[in-house]
Amino acid sequence: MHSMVTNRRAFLAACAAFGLVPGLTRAASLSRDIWLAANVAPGRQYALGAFDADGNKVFEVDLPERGHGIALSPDGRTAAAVARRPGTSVAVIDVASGQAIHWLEAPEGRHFHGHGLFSPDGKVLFTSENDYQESVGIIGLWDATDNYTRLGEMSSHGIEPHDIKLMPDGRTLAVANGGIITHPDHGRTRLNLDAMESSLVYMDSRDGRLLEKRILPAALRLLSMRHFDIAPDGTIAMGMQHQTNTEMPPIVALHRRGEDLRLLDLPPDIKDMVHNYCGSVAFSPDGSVFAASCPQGSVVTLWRTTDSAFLGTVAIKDGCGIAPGIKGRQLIMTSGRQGVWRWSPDGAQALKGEYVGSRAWDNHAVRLG
Amino acid sequence: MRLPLLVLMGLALASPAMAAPDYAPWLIKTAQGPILNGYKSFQSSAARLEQSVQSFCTAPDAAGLDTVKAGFVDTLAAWQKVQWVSYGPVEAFHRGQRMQFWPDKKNAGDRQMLALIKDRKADALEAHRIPFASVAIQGLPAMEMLLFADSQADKVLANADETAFRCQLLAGISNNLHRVGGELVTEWEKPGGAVDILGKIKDGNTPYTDDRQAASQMFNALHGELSAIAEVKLSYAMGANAEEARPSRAESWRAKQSAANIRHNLESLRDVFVGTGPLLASLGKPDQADKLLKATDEALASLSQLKAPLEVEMTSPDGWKRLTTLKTKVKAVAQILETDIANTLELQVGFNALDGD
Repeated sequence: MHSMVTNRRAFLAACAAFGLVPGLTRAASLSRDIWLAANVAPGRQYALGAFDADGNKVFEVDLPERGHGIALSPDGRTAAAVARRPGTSVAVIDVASGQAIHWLEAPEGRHFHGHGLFSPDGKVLFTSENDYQESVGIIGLWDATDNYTRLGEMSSHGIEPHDIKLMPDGRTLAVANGGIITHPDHGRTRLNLDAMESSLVYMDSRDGRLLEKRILPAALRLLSMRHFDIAPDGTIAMGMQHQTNTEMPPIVALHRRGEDLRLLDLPPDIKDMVHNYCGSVAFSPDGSVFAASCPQGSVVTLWRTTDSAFLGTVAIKDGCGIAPGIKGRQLIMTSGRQGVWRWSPDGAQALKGEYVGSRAWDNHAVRLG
Repeated sequence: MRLPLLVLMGLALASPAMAAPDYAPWLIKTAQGPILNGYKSFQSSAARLEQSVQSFCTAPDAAGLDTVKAGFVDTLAAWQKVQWVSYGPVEAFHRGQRMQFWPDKKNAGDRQMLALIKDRKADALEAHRIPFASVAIQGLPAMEMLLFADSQADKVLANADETAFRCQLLAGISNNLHRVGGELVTEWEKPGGAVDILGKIKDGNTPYTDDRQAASQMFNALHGELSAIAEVKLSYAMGANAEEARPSRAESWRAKQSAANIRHNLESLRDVFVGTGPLLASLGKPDQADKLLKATDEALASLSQLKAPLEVEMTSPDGWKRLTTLKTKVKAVAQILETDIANTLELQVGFNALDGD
């Protein structure tokens, strides 16, 4: 009895020292929906945080550099947190224990661009990468069944791949190529604005074959497609950024396979606020609504999928991360000024948990469950 | 006859406030002044520290060790002056974490340094190996532990073997501080370096869309330092009251430099705030610069009111109150930045608003 108590105390002490939630709490938490997002605490402490529907902490894993996107395995057991570009690390996290179990390092000559994706069978992790010698986009392949050894790579059929997601058919990859050349020797300096070409590419996840490629009209050459989400019917909603402030083009677009990109304009008063910058896009669980965040204007814009009607905005300070809510038309919205909100057509409500209010949340959020 | 004149005057007075902020001079002056000079000062302090370690290790004695300790305190102070600079070359290759792995809430630095000492792995910090060592044992906190920890400080001069072993570690870390300090100076100063980039954003092909984005980055770095002072350097260590205060959570508790660190932080921010005056004046708000400086001076004044080292103050009810006052004053500076100054400069405090990803 005595030793059980002592062990339990030592266990709790160890948990406290490592900032872990004891197992029982976590086992319970896994039966409900959780959201994952990169964050920062005061003093530049970067982490990948998981929170529940009330905004309480499920787990948190420290990261050596600022995080960005998160890939979830189909069985929900593994999350891969990819460093923000031009990052060199991916933390592979065991969701049940809330611990990093592998650290992937970008191969020589490559760096990550903040996003990854698991194959539908969970066996392969794809990461969007830059080959900075040749300045071409790469999709890296890692073997999730063998300690994440590097399997090889495929072309992203464009420059600077960012977001990468799976189409509802379960084998087509959609890739947003931002179109801007950078090199680690020059940090994030954009080296080819005179010849930028951003593209939305559909490719076969099994052999890398190009299936369809969409580029923007020449007049909108300085628009960069980087982040998107896919509705259950395969519609892609795209968020873009324009590389100058001398004009104000559309920064949101829709696409369906085989059609042209459809650019969606914001109302003029909103356009004036957003500094040509869309940070993140997500559909509601039922796909009927999508949100496109504009952190520079501290607004999240809302759109109806069927007729692409602009529905309005939600004011969220430095609001950038968006993820599907629990059901229907619900969405989760995170703030770079701390805090997370749950939006439904009835309005936006702050999650009450102390945890989400004590972290500044990074660009992207994902739902698990 | 007089009315139109008044109207014209009103317009003339109003127009500067309507102009878009011209951030470039502010960016360039801050880069050339507080930032570059700050890194140069860090580099030269670290060079002297490395030299003092070499002298001590050639002929070890108590006086030489005191010189090393003093050199450490100088180098720490110089780092605190640039600690707010969270962007640019310090971000690359984890340079910032290598100079100071902080906050270290899980005590990785202590654990890893103790393991290294236990295994007598002095070569782990040699020049060609140290880049591969954990960032937690490469920089200032690791050196502070060797020089000031109760369990370690006496061992530096304990016997010839121990001194030789400690000297290897101290030489490795001080050389690393000096070398990375040099890299930071070079990366800011060289043609095409960070200073140059901030001066030619309008020409294109820089990491920034426009001057506003770079200004936003700098503005957020300044605000971030204030919140780090309030939330981590003070709140995190202070706990809910004097009884629950945890001095070992203070930033440089072993060398008793935590309060000095805050003073260097605030003084370096003050330098940048002084340089913000012309920009605020050009936007019709010269009074806001005064307000910001006054608030900063009040924070510095409340820091001078401390009666003992911060690590000691937090454990007495009166000292804890004085630290609470300091925290309130620091937050007041942050508040002016995020309201008045942010509005005038058309910037916002944020995390995602900074750049395109």
